[in-house]
This record gives sequence, structure tokens and C-alpha cells, in this order.
Amino acid sequence: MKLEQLIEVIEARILQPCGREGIEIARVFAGDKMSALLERAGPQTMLVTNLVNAQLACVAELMDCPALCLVGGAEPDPHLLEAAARAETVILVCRLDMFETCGRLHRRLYGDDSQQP
Amino acid sequence: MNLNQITVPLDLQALTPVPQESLKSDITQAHASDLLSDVLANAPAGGVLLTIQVHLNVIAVALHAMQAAVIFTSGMVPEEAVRERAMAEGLPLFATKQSTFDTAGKLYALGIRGQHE
Amino acid sequence: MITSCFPIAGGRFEDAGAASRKLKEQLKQIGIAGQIMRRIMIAAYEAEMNVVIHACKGNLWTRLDGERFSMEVIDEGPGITDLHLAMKPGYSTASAEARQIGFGAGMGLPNIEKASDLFEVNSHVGKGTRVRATIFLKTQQVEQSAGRSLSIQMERCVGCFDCLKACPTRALRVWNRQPHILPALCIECTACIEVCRRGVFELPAMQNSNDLEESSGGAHTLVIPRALLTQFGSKIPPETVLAALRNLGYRDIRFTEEWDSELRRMVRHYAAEREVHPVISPICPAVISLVESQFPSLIPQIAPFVTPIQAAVEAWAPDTATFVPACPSQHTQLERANLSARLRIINPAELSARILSELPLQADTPARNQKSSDQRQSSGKNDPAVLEAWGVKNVVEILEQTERGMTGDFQVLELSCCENGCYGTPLFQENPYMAEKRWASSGLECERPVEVSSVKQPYQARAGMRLDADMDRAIEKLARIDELTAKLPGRDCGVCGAPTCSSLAEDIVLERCPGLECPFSPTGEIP
Repeated sequence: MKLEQLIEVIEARILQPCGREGIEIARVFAGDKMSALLERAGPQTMLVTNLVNAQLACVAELMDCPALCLVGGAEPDPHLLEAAARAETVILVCRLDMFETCGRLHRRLYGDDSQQP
Repeated sequence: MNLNQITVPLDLQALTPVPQESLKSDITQAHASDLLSDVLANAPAGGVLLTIQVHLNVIAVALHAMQAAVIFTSGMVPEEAVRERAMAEGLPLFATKQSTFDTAGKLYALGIRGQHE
Repeated sequence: MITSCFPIAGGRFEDAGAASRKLKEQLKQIGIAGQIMRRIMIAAYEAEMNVVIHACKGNLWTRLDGERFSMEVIDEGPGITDLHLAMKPGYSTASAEARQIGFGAGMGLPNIEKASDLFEVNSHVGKGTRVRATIFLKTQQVEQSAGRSLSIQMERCVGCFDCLKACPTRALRVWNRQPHILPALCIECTACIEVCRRGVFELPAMQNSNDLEESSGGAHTLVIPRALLTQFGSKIPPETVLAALRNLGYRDIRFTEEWDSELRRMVRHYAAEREVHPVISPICPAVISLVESQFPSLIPQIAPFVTPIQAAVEAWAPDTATFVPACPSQHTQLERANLSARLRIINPAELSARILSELPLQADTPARNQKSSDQRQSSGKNDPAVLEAWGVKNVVEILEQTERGMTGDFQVLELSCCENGCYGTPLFQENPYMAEKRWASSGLECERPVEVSSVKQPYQARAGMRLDADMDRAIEKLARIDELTAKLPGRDCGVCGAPTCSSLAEDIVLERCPGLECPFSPTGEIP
């Protein structure tokens, strides 16, 4: 599913466009432990997190992860925006909390069939 | 919905026995976070907490935030000492191999919601 | 070969990750990508962040050649006081500041180990830490162990040729009265050991034989097959053997079969949720090798869990337990695990000899324990959905039937190459049924809560089975093999040193050994 389609369902805002908004997202990983985010990040993954620091961009860059969604209406670290720009990672912010964000994204990606995945 | 109506359809593994008291409360919300400071600040009272944080502190924080139960996701399971503490305090613990994202998706499909900021 | 050094500044979270990023740029230019790149990045980033979080400064040294990527992260810092704890998932000494920004999950070192093929960590308290990790660029390094766990004592061979026929995969040859094992075909079962009356086939000599002297004092765990306790005759019951082991310095004795029970539960549960039956249980590693090499179409039916001995290995941090393999196949699994952690492995024959030296010289037959724990409780005998079978001939037959779809009425296949499971390993002398009864009468338990994990890399078809990497040449070779086989007498007598006429034809076409010929060939000569 295209990133743009996911953005609208969580009422998110692109903080820093970098031309990759049409990118395909196949799966989402949500969490706040950097080790877990590192392991699960990938070329078609979007990361959803309560964290806001610059290391997120580093992880995204190392694992070729195209998009980061910061939840809970948080304000990202300015260093994060810089790092993300270099890495060409899309940064989204969302006023919903992590649970609500995941719930809506899951429904959008996999439909109302709660057997997925 | 009561706790059983959530945990049974999701096939969650009960790590502690569920006190009768807990089955009386109506659960309509959930919070997903691995940052204890965020849980303290933002988790809605009476909701369930989704996390991979298995440190002993998570019990104290969940109690303080008046969570109805804690669901450990991604196959993470706390140590015996943590489970014992939760049992002593009457806080039900559950575990699932599914990720926070998928668990949130399934709970969302049941009608559980998160929050807007 | 390229070597590089990327400095890491401790304590600075703002530019943390810079070393890993620079490494990535370099590797991208060389063309590293995909899964290999991911694993390298995980190992490098976790190691770098360990320096940033815990140390003052450090360096990421890297080396890359055609076969492997190696890295060493060496830091100056407080060092690690307890390596065992540090390797435990979830344990972390990171500061509150680090935890607030998502670090300190306690997964750093375990994740580096998981991502790499070889892993080592050393530390000096007060000085610093060194983490080494190697990732092989191709997978064959780890696969080449087939046949390595069997050692051949050439001088004992009398040329009886019994082994040729016993091998279920026709991996044996006898050339010039010297037995040879074809590694690509050997599944490391015990058929040749079982059948050879001269003791030609044995487990290889193992390093770590003097581990007890090296042991750093205190409790040391020993993991053995239960059968070991039943090998010393009717007058020495299992309890006495246990006492002897304790006298040798092993405080805590565990049985590989503890993991058998857990695996059985998990396989049954897994099979109940599958549509395609039967599911093949990974209870015997030689059977897994057999499926991977001879029945690759059945690989998807193998339950994706590790074997009991692999599960046992995963239960201990490096260097805290000694393992005793019951067969060459288990030995290979221990050797493979040994690549990434220093495992202590001891030869069962050697351990038996040491036990003998510790046994009391008593002569009374012990009273039979009235309570006989029914060890069969959790096994397949009582469950109609589980087919339990032993012996390579039975195992091969059942797998052939499974390929034809004729075993779908069973949910689970529990197949072992040795008679009566590990009791039947020829590395132990006792009759497998006597051994089992002795165990059952001892009242000893081997049910404990243990964990059996899923396989990290899925079971896959063995490489090197094809006649040729090139399809056309493979077809051509097959035609020549068939043609040659038709010219041979077809008696499969074994006198040429190959188990069957078609094996000889294959050996000749694939040029496995110079001067091969059939002494009875009607044409008198082989091209």
C-alpha cells in the first residue's frame, strides 16, 4: 500500500517531504526499543514510535527504512529532521497515540479481517 | 468488554491467574508503549497496556497508571519475580507471540480504542 | 581484501551511528546488499552503540574478503564485570538517559551473536571490551561438516563390505581396502558404526577433553543422553553412575531427552494447526539430514523447530556446560554451535572410561525400584496420530511412502535412525531395550520446563547433491550413468567397492576415484 494512503487514515502530517511519499509500505513495526526497531526496519517497513531522537534516522538509514511515524503529537528533535533529510527518510507526525495509530493502520493494511497476518 | 472477551479471541497466554475482580471492569481503551515515562504520563486508566518492556518496573508503573492488565507482545515474557509481583498486586499479565502492531490491530477490530492528543 | 577503521566517540548520542553509516557506504559501493548487509548493519550498530552508551571511546575495525566480513569493536571503558549476565537477553546496565531514548533493552550482545556466524566477546574490567563478529558471505562454510563427525580407523578394516549395504544413502565406498565416506551423501546416522564389527567407524577425537581441569571451579553442568546412565551392566544402576559423575566434578546433570518431551509437545501443537500431514518431527538430527539430502520435497513438512540437542545448547551461556553427543549427527550439531560459542564437548567413550574409574567395586544387584516411571507417557506409542519408527531402513521406507502421499493419516512422524531412539546408539554397548528398562526402573525423572526455539534459518535442501551445476551437463551425465549401469551385471555385489552397480557408474562418470572398474563386467572394460 502506498505511504500516502496510510498517512490519510491516521491523520498524519509529513514534516519533511523528501519525494518518497509514493513509496510502497508492506508492513509496520511499532515500538520504542531501538534494538527491536533496528531488527524490524526494512525497505518496505514503516516504523511507528513514541521516540523522537536522531538515532531513529540512523536506524532507518542503516536498514533502508523509508518512513518513520512519530505518534502522540510529539515534537521531533531538530537533529532528527536533519539526519532524516540526509537519509531521505520520510518523517510523519501524528496526533493519535501509538495504539490508535496501529489500530487504524492495521485495519487499512489488512482490512477488517482480524485473522491477518 | 471484559478481560476475557479480549484475551480469548486474541489467544493470549495468561501469565498470571486472573482475579475475579478484574473481570468486572469494562475495558474500552488500550495504550501501547515501551517507555515507562510515557505510560505514566499518558496511559488511560482502566485500559490495557501493550509493551515489550519486561523489566520489574513495568508492574509498578502499570499499577500507578491503573492499567487493567498488561499484554507482553512479540514473544517477550517477564521473569518469575515480575510475575510474582504482579500476582501479589492483582494485576493480570498476558503474553502473545504477535507484535504490538498486530495485537493492537486485533484489539482495534474488537472495538478497543486509543487516544488523540 | 579491504580493511578499515572507523572511530567511535563514547558518550555522544548526537553523532552516534556514524561509524556504522560510513561502513554501510563502503559496503554498498562494493555491492553488499540484502540479508548480508542487514546482518552486518545490526552487528555494527549494536556494537557501536555499546561503546557510545558504556565506554569512553573505541574503534570499529573491519575486514572484508570474498568469503567473509569480519569486524572487531574494541573500546576503552569500564569493561564488563559479568559476561554471562551481559549475554542474557533483557539485562542492561545502560543509564536512565540511554533508556529514555530507547536504548538499554539488553539485547545488544545477544543480537550481535544472532546476526553473526562467529561471535566472541572479551573484556577486562577497568580497561575495555572487545567484540568480534564474522559473517560468511556464502553459506557453504557451515554446511561442509557432513561426514566430518565420523572418523575412520583404516587399519581395522578387513574388507568385509558390510558397511556398504548398511548405509541408507549409499555414501560409503571401500577403495583399496580403505573405507571412504562421500561427504555430500553422508547423513551422519549410525548405520555404519552399528554394522561394523571391527570398530572402523568412530566419533572423532574431541578437543576439550581435559575440560574438568580447566573448569573454573564451582558448579558445572553436564548434558548427557539418558542411555549413558544405563551402560554399566546390571550391577551398576543409573543412580550409582550419577554419583560417579558428581564425583568427577559435575554438579548438575541434565538429559538431552528433557528437550525431547518439550519438542514433542510443540510438534503436536504445530501439526494440529497444519493442513498438510504428516509433519516431520526434528527429534533426530540425522533424519533431518536425510530429508534435506534425499527427500527435499518433504522439507516443508519438517516442523520448524530446533533439534533437542540444539535446544539444550541454547539453554546455556558459552562455556558453562559440557555436552555429550550420542551420535555423529549430534556431534555435528554441537560442532556447528561451537563456531559461535566455546562449547565443551566430551566423547561418550571417554566419559564412560572416566566413570568406570570412579565406580565402586560393589557386587550386589540393586533392588528394582518398585515405582517405574512410565517414560512412554509422552511418546508416540499411545497416540494414534503419531507414527513412531526407528532404524534407517524403516525411516527411509516411511519417507518414501510420505513422498507418495501414503502417510497422510498420521499427523506426526517421529523418526529416529537408531533402534529405540538414542538408547540404540552404537556408541553405547548396551542393548537398547535393556537400557530403556534400566532407566525406567530407576525412577529418575527427565521432565523439566525447558524451551525449544524455532529454527533461525529454515531447513533447506542440501547443496552438492546435483550431478552438475549446469543443467545441460547434469542431464548428459545422467544419461552416461544410465548407459553405464545398463552395461554392468546388475548384481549389486559390492566387490568393486561401491554398494550398487548404479553407484559404481555414478562414481566413474563423476570421476570420484581413479581406476574404478567392475571385476565381473561382461565387456571386460569400462570406458
